[in-house]
Amino acid sequence: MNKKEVDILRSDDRLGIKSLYNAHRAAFLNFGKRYGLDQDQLADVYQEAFLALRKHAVSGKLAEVKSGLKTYLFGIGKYLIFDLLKKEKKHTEYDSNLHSNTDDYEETIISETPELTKEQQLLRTYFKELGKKCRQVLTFFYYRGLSIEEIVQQGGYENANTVKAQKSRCLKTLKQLIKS
Amino acid sequence: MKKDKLIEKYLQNTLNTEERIEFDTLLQNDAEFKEEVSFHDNLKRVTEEDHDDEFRSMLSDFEAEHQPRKVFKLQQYSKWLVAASVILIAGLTYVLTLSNPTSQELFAANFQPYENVVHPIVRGTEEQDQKTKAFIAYETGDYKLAVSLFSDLYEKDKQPYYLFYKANALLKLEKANEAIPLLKEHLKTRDTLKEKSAWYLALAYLKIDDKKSAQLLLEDIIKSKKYKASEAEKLLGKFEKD
Repeated sequence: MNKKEVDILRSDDRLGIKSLYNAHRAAFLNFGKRYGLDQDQLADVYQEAFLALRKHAVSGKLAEVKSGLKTYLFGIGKYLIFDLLKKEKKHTEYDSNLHSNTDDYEETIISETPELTKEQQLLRTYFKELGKKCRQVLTFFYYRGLSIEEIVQQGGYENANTVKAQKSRCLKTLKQLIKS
Repeated sequence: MKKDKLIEKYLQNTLNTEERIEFDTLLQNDAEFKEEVSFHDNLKRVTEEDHDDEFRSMLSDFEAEHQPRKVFKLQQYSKWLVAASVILIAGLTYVLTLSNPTSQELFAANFQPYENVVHPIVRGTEEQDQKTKAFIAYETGDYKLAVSLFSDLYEKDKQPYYLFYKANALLKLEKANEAIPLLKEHLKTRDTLKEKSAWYLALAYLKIDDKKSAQLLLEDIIKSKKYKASEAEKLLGKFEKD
């Protein structure tokens, strides 16, 4: 996949991400019509597919993908459409022939994010009590897997030491919240 | 190797074979170490969840710009609605005059989005840049769209008044929690609209039922004779009663 696009998808460049989101939205909604879903449902699917794309960019998976962004995104979207149709099957008859529909997009299967355990839910309530800057630095480090140097750049920090100091302060506060 | 260094390498996925063995041994034999690792694993999952929520909310912002504004077809019901509202208002007035107003009611009675004084809209102009679009959305009450456009604009040119108007739009959308950090940030700037922010921040606190913070701000507004000082006095009087 185009490296520039992958870099935008990994970043916090709101306007860059927005232009990628907008670039394929209309085509996806048009593509999805053939499965009998309405515009609102398709817009929801498109958002979920785009989130999955973002997560694959964050995890590094996207950098290894050979196909272009649109093909990959539509592949995820197609998978999510079938997933939705299967769930709706309870109400109406689901036509498995739909899968053989000839189009250019291979379904890309994505794994569902597991639900939070009880322990994690509790941790989350404490996490939410932290200030915005703390939540940001911890998310950069833990989920986004950014290096200290990358955090300096993305978070607008002075240098590596300020990031490290901030991170350990935030962890300390979080642990104190848990104990209190 | 020190335990916290091992954990750091584990989190960054950079343990070598030797370190991996040391890590696994500790995990099996050292309960405290195991607990610490589990804390970091959980935190990783929690930050993922937080990220996903934030990213989804950004995508809904983008989506709002594509949705046509919903216009309700009220005509056929309008007579009934008028009749029903008259009864409702009469009923409410009766109830409200009898009871002390709640924070929500005080908020609703006092909050009015601040008018657009930054970017006068000349109707009928062909060219619509993003700033014009944002303020048109704001003025015509499409606050969802306005929030999204103000976010983009703020990211682009960092004008502090975008924070202020975005916060106003969020308050109108009943998202006081999201408006509060923006107003706080706006208060730190040198924007000319800054002195209005305190009043809106006070109302935002009221909306989330944080009366104490609201009270402190209102007292300050009255003391330093800021924007809406007399309203602040009236408002303060109302919730001091209970």
